[in-house]
Amino acid sequence: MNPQRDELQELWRTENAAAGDAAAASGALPRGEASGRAQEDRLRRRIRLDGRLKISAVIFLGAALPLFAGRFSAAAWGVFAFALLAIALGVFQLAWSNRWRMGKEARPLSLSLAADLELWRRRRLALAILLGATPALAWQVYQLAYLAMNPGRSARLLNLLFLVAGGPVLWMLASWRQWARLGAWLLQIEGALAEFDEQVAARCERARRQAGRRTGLIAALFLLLLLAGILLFWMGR
Amino acid sequence: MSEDADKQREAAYLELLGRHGRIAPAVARLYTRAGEDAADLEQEIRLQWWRSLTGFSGRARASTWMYQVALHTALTFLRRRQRRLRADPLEHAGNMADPAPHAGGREDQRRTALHGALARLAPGERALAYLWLEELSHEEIATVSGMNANAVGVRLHRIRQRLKELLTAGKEGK
Repeated sequence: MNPQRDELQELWRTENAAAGDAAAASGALPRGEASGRAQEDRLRRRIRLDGRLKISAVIFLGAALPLFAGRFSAAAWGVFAFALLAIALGVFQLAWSNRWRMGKEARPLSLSLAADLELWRRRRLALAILLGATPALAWQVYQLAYLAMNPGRSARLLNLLFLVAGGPVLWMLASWRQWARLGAWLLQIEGALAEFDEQVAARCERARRQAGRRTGLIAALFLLLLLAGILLFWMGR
Repeated sequence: MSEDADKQREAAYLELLGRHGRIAPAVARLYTRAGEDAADLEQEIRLQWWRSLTGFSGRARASTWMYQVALHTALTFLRRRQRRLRADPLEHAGNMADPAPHAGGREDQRRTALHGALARLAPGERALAYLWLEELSHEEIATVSGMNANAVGVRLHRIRQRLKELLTAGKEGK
């Protein structure tokens, strides 16, 4: 062994001799492969769960069909269109996440972290849009179903406003929130990468400051949207 | 995949685990608090070794590959918790997994102090310090980290100085 060993290395070696024996003794195949706790696994589970949630619109569609029989207004067609869109997106999400490769490649840390960063940057926009679409689609289907069941209320300004602006604004904000959440994780990968690459370090610091401001802005806009919705509802009564 | 290929993969995995399995608990201890967090990360590292085994061509040394996968997993693991730890590094240092928490000897105090000092390093520096403590050469550390060997030498010099400062400050504080 190394005769020039530092005292800290010596200390580390004595400690790890015992730990090594314990690790060898507990050698077994990993269980519960589907329940990995890495961020990639969590994201995959989230997108799959969200996909199944979207596909569950088929249940709503099945239940709504007899109710709308004989009165196929524009609103009823809208319900079907948005529900079918949700189902299609859900199927796409499941198929897409099935194709994700989950192992890590035999590459140096700086390269594998950079590859992670690149991969998740590419997926970020699609993930944010898809995950953000769920509440917006649910809102849109609910609004249209309400109008299809109550045709007399379609002319009310408040209902039109909720229908035309509610879904898109909710989609934008929910997507932005997902975008920011993914950004926080990417920032952490970038932070780790920055320690191996000085050029990344300066960029990372700037991005960290921007992320802080963005999170505050999203929270404020969500609150504003909620207050505007309550106010409009109250005024429309 | 055929049954034979499955068995081969299983045998290769268990053999690697027998030779280098101690990397998982050591890396988990470096990056988490004691208890459930450490057990989760250790399990995750083993899972990543298992998943990545089919992509391991054998061109690199097995130990190098296992260090790469373990440290990559740790550096991107449960970042929300790491943010919390970053906010309070002193608490982290005090709560890091102690391999022998009940022993009160001088040697054990030094080990606890070493873990405390490691916890104060940035995550990337901690990875380099860990590889140095594992007695890897500068060239091997360069292979694992992707830095060049000269840069590794410079960084390690700084890290060792910082570790010694932290340990001295810890002793004087007692």
